[in-house]
Amino acid sequence: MLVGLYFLGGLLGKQGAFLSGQVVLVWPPAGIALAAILLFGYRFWPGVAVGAVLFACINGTPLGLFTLGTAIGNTMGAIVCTFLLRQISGFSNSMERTRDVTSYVALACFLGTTVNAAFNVVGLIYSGGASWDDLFSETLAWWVPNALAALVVAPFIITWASPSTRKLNRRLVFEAICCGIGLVGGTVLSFNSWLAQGIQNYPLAYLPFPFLVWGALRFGPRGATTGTLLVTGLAVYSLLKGTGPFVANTERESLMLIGSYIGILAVTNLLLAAGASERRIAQQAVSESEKRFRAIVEDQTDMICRFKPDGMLTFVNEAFCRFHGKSADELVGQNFFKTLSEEDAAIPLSYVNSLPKEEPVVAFDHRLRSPEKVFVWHQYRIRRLFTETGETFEFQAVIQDITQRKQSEGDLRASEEKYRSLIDNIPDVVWTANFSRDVSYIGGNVKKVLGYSSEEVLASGGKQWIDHIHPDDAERVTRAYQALFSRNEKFDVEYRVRRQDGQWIWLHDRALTTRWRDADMCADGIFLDITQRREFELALQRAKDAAEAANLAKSQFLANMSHELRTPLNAIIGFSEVLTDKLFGDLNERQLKYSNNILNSGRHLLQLINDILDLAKVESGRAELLCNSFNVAKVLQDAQTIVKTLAIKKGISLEFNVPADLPPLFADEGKFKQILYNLLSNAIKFTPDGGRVTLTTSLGAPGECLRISVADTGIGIKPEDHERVFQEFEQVDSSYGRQQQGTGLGLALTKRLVEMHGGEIMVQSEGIEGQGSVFTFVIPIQKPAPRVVPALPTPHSHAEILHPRVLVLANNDSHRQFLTDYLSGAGYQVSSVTNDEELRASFNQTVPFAVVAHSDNFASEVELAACCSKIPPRVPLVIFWCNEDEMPEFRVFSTNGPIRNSAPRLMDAVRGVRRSSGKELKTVLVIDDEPAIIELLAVTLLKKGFCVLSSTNGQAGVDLARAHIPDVVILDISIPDFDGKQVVQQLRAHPSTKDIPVLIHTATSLDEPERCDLTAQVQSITFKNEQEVLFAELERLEKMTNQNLELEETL
Amino acid sequence: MNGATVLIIEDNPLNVELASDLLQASGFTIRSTNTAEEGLRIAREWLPDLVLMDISLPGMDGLCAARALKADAATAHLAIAGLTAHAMKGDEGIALGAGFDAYLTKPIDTRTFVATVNELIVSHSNKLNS
Repeated sequence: MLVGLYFLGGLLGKQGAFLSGQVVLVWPPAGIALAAILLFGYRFWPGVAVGAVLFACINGTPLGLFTLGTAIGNTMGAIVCTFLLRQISGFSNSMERTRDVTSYVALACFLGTTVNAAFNVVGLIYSGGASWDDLFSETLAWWVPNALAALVVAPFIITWASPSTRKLNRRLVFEAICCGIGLVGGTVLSFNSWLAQGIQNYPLAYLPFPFLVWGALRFGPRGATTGTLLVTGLAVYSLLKGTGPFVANTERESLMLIGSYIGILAVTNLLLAAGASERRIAQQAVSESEKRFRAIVEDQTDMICRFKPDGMLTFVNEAFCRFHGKSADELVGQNFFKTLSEEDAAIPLSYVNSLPKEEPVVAFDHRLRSPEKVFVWHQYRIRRLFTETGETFEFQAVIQDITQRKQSEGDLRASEEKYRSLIDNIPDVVWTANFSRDVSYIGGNVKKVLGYSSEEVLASGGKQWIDHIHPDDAERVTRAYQALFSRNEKFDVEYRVRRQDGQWIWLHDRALTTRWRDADMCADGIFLDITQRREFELALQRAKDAAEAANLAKSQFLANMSHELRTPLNAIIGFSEVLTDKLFGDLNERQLKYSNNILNSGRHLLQLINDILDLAKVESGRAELLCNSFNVAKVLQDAQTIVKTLAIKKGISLEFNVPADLPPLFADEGKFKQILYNLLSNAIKFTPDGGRVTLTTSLGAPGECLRISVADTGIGIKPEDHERVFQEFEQVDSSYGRQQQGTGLGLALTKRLVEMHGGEIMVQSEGIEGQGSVFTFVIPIQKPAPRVVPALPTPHSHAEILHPRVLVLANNDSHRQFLTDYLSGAGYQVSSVTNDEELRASFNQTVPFAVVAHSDNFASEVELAACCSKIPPRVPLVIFWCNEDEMPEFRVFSTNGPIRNSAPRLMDAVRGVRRSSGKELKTVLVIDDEPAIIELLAVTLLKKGFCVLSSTNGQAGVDLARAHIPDVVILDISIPDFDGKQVVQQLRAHPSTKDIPVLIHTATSLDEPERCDLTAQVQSITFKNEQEVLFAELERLEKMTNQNLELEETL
Repeated sequence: MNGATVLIIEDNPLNVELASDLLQASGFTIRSTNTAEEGLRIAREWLPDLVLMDISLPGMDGLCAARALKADAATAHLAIAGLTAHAMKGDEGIALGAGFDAYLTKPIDTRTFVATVNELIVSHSNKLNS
């Protein structure tokens, strides 16, 4: 294609040939070539070269150097021009910058085309068309067409081929056409003399100029180059015709003249166009920029406006208009300050007026009424704008609506107030503190609680806080507080602190959460003054203990009384029985009657006493159920037998309905019989002669409970009395009832007995004589509860060394003797004191495992408490007494009263556990060749209440084990001459000792095979430096053993 | 005293037996009943020399009965002695205030019982006559 173009160009050029077809004014092909290379790149040079060659061939010009030279010249020229332009000036093809145009003209037209011309001339010379002398003129002759081509043809092609930044529209096109016509007309006119004769060759060369300028300015580079091309074409044509203002004497001259005309024209045009383009582009950029910024400004939610120093608005943005509800046109020109009400405008006005020259910006919040008469808050930022000379040009105000923010601030403040008020008025004091107890926040009510104001607390540090804690509590509290941070353990402590006025109060201090605050971990918590509560608690505890003690006293009293009361009765009943039985002689009728009276009254009294004591026992909670499984039917049978005599006496028929398949009942058999007897005898008593008593047994809630009903046909019980009959000493108020000589306690006791079993008793009756009543009781068929068998401990006497030491306190010799004997029999080492002084003195020498005193030793609670206070805190004071079953009971007491339940064995009482059987003391045998180790272990073992046997020799140890059968053996492996392994073997070999658990406690570590062996045979292996592990094992063993024991019993 | 009549109002049969045997052995004529109502009826009809009344009776108690007797003109002159196991301070005062002329506590002293009864009857009739 290019080739074609080139060819065409060449033809055109040929047409324009002037001098004998050899020299032309404009050599289009050069221009085309340049354009091509500029537009499409260096690789197009073959096209150019080939085109040149072809042209030369077709043109008839003799091939040879000239052709070659031309070809090379054109190609090279184009390439060199392009190179120069690209490399040196960053040329842009659209020629829209003056810079580009200037460099184009300079480099392409002058420098580059010289190359073209050079090659042409050299070629010519070498092909013989010219000589070296004509080099300069030839070069010039060849340079001009090339230069002109570069000025006219190439730009035309280039500008039209490059993308333009102008947008075409119809108006522009129309304008272009007009311009073009004008241009052509002008040119023609200037180069021809059609108008009038004589104007031929008139120098009207400037006629096209307005049109050219118009074209350049309005249509840019494309317009310019098009214009240039048109003019050039017409000019050349005219010249060839011999018309126009450039016709001169010689061809050369004419060439030069027109050449320069066209050249100047082209350059000017291009420059103009470029200049215009530049300006247009700049303007476009500005307008774009403006559009962009305007969009931003308009898009603001903030109101933006500008006003002159006198207040006249020059610019308002969309938001401003919206706020004021007016359009921009309405607002611009108005006074800024008049847009607000007078009072609202006052503040901005004063700010603006007082704005110093040096400080151009001011910001302030302002409350005003919006056009809708609503109060809003605005934040004003007013800036003074200066001209270049430093004068105030305008003010710019940016106004932001901060109503929402103010609202939020207000709400936040109110909320904060609320919470602050809350926190300051609750009794709990809220605090936040860090690890060192430095308080970073404390509630205002701390002043009320501690007497220190919150400022004072915040100012003081954690150490001060700790200093205020009671010394006895400080360590515990500090430890707990640290545990909160290090182990995230709950911090909930009660301790004493000193108020500002020196008073000590109890605080309940709790940490609720821990969190990170800045780089510090801190805890949030509350504390509360619980002094009062503690006092209440203490008082309550004292009252409780007093009540318990009173109860205890009452029970003891009753126990004593029972003895006292029964003693005379023994005589009364006994002797009258003897009389009645005529054992020592006959009696007459009256005497017999009298002795029977005595006997019956005596028995009645005895029954009363028993009932009272029973009731008292049950009420004070001291009656225990001795349960066993028994056959209900059989018991009912027995009861029937017993009451039958009673019934027969009154002619009352007894009916027992007992199903055959009753399951065995697990209950206290004796008390069950008591219940039955009571109900039956009542039924019989309160039924007139000839009535009927019926007993019915059934199972309720399948398999879960036993239901027994006793129905009679007696006088019944009125509904309003139903509740009363179960109360003590309440008897139905009727003459008939009173005659029956009841104790009045029967039903009360029966009710208690039933309820002790977890059952219920109720009565149904209308109170109508003849219909009688039905008493029903329900007893759950329970699972067997652990047996409570108070077994007398069989004390083991150990002939060996180490036993727990107990101190017996008794002011009564017999008590002292009894206790000493009993306890030493159980394996304790007993020493005794008779009074408090001796007691205190004894503690200077040794600290016993426990102090045991007989309950008779103290006349009152106060004495007991006093005694307690004389004893070191770690040593328990244990009170001993015999209960009504003549069983030993031990109970630990403190200054505030008993602290645990009583237990049948001293060991259990001290340890606060209940054991139902087993030895009084657990025995541990320690075998170790180092006495020091034995000592060490023994101290802890004794404190824990074990009885300790020891041996430094393996063989002796085994013998001891066989003799005393300890509960546990603690063994060192490395004993000389008879080492631990052998001990274990020996123990395992003997049937009596093979089941004793062995704990290995060694200093040396064992190698694998040994370890494996032993692990199979022993309970555990621990190291001598880990004593606590050993004791943990011991405890575990104990627990296991106890569980086993309990299991054995229940089976 | 021979022929003196005593009405015993007491609900415990053994106590009745004891008292009446003792008195009968000394020649008194005894009637007994175990309710106050019955006792009132008999008293009105029989007009005994002495009414021995237990305080705690079923139904109407002794105090009421005493008042009733004293209120009734027919029986107001009868001697009424109270017999009771209640032995609290102030009981005596109440009893005497209610109309008992004398007050005896149980258990009775059998050795002095008869003499006491005699004395009561004598002193009461002396009072009446004077």
